[in-house]
Amino acid sequence: MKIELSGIRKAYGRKAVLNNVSLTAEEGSCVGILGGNGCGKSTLLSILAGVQKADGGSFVCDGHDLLKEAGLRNSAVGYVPQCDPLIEELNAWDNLCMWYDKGTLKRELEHGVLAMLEIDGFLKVPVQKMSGGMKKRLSIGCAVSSAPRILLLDEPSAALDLVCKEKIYRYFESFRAGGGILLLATHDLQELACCDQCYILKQGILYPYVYDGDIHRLAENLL
Amino acid sequence: MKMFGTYLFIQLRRTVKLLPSLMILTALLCACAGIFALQHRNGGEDAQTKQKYQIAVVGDTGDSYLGFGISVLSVMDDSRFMVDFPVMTEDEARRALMAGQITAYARVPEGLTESIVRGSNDRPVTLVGSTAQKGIAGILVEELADVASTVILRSQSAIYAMQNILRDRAMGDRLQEETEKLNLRMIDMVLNRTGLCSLEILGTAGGLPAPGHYLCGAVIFFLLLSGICSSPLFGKKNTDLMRWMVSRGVGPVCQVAGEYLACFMLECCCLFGMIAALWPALGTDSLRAAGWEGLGLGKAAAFGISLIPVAAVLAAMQFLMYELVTGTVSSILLQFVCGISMAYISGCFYPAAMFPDVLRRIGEALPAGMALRYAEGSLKGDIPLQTGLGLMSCAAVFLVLSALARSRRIRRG
Repeated sequence: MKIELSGIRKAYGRKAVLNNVSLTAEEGSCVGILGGNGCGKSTLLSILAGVQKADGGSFVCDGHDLLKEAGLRNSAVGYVPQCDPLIEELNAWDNLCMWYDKGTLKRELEHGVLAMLEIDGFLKVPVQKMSGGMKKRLSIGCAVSSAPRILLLDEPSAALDLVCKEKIYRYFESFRAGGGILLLATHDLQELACCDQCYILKQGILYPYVYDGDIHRLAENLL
Repeated sequence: MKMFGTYLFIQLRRTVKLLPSLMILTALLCACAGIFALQHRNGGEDAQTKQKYQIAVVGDTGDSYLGFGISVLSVMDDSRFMVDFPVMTEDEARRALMAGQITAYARVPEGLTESIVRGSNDRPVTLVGSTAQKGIAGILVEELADVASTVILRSQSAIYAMQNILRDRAMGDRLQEETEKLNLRMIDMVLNRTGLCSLEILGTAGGLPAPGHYLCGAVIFFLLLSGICSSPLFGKKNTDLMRWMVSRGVGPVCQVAGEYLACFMLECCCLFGMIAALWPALGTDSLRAAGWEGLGLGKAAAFGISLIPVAAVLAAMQFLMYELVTGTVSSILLQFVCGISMAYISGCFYPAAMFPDVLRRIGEALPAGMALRYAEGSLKGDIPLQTGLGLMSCAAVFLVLSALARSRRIRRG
């Protein structure tokens, strides 16, 4: 499996946010997209997830343009936005029930993705009483209910403690090992270290970047 | 379709989770409706003692002729149900007028009776009012003064004519006696006006008796306010969740439909709560007093069921308001302000016929106005199909606008 983004454009009024964004990612790879605040990282991911419409371009996976084939996209792409898309009044179980049928949910909680994310430990906790790490793991759990092959994550480990990050990264490794493609919008250097390819999004244009551990050079490139 | 069903189920589950807070708000609103109904029922009994205009009489009230007139007005005349004539000193009357305890006071000059008896007009009664009384009370006072002046001027002409006749016939010694007789006769004619006209009221609106109109008005008014009860459910917006739902195939239309159905069910609970609170006082007692029969539980339930389309359109309108505004406080304020103003213009408080034509037409075109007409028709057992279709169209328009607003919110993030 391979994904190919080509010529993706998006403008808000006269302001062009994405200008012919193109990239390619192979099976089992992790692509990091860096950029300053408001540079368009979240917009790019929301376009790929089908939340927003692009002004032009394509997102091809195995010969299918997922920007045009919504049904295919919904099953092939999982999306975890920056803020957790959970129903606050309900507990983890209720939130998961929205996306999994009961049989699958029990199976996944016993020895599947949800077990790996250790969600079974807080199934009855209402979302409004959960910690940031619990919410993020639950969000990922909900996003992967359709067993997607492409996972889009918008700053997945922002403001999480090391233990939570470790649990999430462990899951990412397993996802990649299963042939999935990860696309991360990030500011986190730890996340960046997990990536096979990095890109910097600046003024709507995507530039390839090789991260060598030099933070100062990275900061200069972001400016 | 499966996704929609799941989403609807989740919304209902949310409603159940939030039920305690939703029920507290609904119970508060129903309690308000019940208090309103009881007040309305008891209002008629209290009206005779509470809603009277107070016109004080000051000055030369010691005269037996004038004292007799005042006591006749206070005890015998029909105006005793509307106006009280307390006797005060001018200082007391002035203080009472400034404090708003009386509507006006009449200053009776020294020797008024003799002046009237003489047929002279040199000592007029002065009516003192305040600028704050420029409502219906002020108009009434002016009208009363006008009527009194007219009566006195006409009486004067009659007295002059009679005196001239007596003088011409050399009966000057009977001048005083005959003038007094004529004065008393005129006062008698004014006071004995009972039965001069009779008033027959067919109904306040659409042929319903007043309690029926107010029952419908109260149900619609409280239903308009019931949008506030949904604030725990729709006040806070999670735009990220909405956006994410789209990525999972639950589009804006599907989201709005699922949430609206939860809102509609809550509105139906409010509707039946309102009817349970209002019916015993307004529906049963008052309507029975107005000559209506068959007002048992069955009629109340049938009335509630017939109002489900009204609940549907008002729920859609309230849902749209929640879609248009961000933040719980501003949503509640919008629900409150729109509810009260729409109820007022649509004739829930006063029959719409009392308003100017333009305002009345606007009120009729508003969803609340249509809902009121529909409710009145339902109570009479004559459901207006055209209004029902109008209501359904309104609900559809509100839902389309809600979906557009949701779509815009998702796009803008």
